[in-house]
Amino acid sequence: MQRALLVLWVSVAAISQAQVADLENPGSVSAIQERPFRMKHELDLSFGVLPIDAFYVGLYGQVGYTAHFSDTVAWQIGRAAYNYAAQTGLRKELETRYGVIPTAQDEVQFFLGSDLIWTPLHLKFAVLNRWVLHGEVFLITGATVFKFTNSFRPAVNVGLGARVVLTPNVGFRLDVTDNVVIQASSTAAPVMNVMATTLSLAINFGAAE
Amino acid sequence: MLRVLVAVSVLGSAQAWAQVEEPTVMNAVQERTYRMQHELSLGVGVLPLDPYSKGIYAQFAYTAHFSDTFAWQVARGAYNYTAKTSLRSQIERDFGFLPTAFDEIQFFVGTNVVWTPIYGKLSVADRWDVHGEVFLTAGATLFSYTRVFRPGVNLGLGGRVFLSRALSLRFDLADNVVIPVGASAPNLGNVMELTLSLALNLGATE
Repeated sequence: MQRALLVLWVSVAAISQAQVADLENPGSVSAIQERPFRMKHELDLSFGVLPIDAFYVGLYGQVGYTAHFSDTVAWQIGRAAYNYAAQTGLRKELETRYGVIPTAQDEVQFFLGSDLIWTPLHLKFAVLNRWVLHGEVFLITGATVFKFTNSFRPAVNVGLGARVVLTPNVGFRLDVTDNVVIQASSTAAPVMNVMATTLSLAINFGAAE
Repeated sequence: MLRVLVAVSVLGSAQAWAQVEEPTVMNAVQERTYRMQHELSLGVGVLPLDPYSKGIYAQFAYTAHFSDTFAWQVARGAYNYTAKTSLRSQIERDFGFLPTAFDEIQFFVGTNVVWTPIYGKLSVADRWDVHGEVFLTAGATLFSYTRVFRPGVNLGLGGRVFLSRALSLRFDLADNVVIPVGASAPNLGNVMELTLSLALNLGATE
């Protein structure tokens, strides 16, 4: 993880330096503007998808709270999600096409977690050369406990997220994380992956600006 | 598609108006630092959706940019390598199915219209500036499966980070709705593509 962050940091710096070399004339000044929005206490109301399991697609609702300590560091203290498993049709296809009847599938029912958030990127972008929007991109790492049909299983997650700020108090947030779930059963593979894609309405309280 | 574009545009403007600042503050859109003209891209990608096999492909493409917001990916061609999933291995091993029982994508060619409504810059750790853009794609693709060709219609979303005037990194996420052709075809298939490309920009005046 540390290596990945180091590589990411070095590559972003390299990209920036490449651009700087391209952009800067001897007489020009390159400046970073002040952020017009800052986050403090963030309440998230979310809808998400667990897309990776071949047998079902998880559709979940989630509530979360995040405390922002600075422009770059935050702690998503808690998040809780309830999941509905929509069948993909693979089970039926295996039965009808290959005559194979799979054993009962273990499905995610709900999950709880907590994350650290690092926000190195602040965005300013023009929509159709007319309107200006602000946002940010962040990295996530944390832990999750999943309740499957038959057992609780812990997981470690890493992810990437982005936020578009609508007003100082309201924004949209998109998180994509991969959870490496530690399998409880000795017969199963030692780990499995649960990818989570979450779209949130984020409400920001208590920011000074 | 038109409805989607209108909806996106209206949403973008609504969000922007939500950010309207104090009456005394001027809101200005800066000139773009980078512009695209003739784009050659070389990429690698993944087809992650098939439960029986995962595709890993190499792709070459040419895109002509007519303005800051509108471009045509005239052609793209990709060759796919298929890796079996554990589910397929289990079916072949435990139930005696031959590898030929599973339809695989071998290569595909396509063309896309590209609409780029969003150009932006990122400050990295409040120290460095990086420029980029976000675009939507729509087009058609022809897939060569093991035994048959099948056409598809695709919609997607992409982003670009500029490295210099001539070089950029481009990321595309697209979903192809594949029209069933042949006896073993499902009703309508989905083929999702994730592509990361190095793009070479030729002929831009700035």
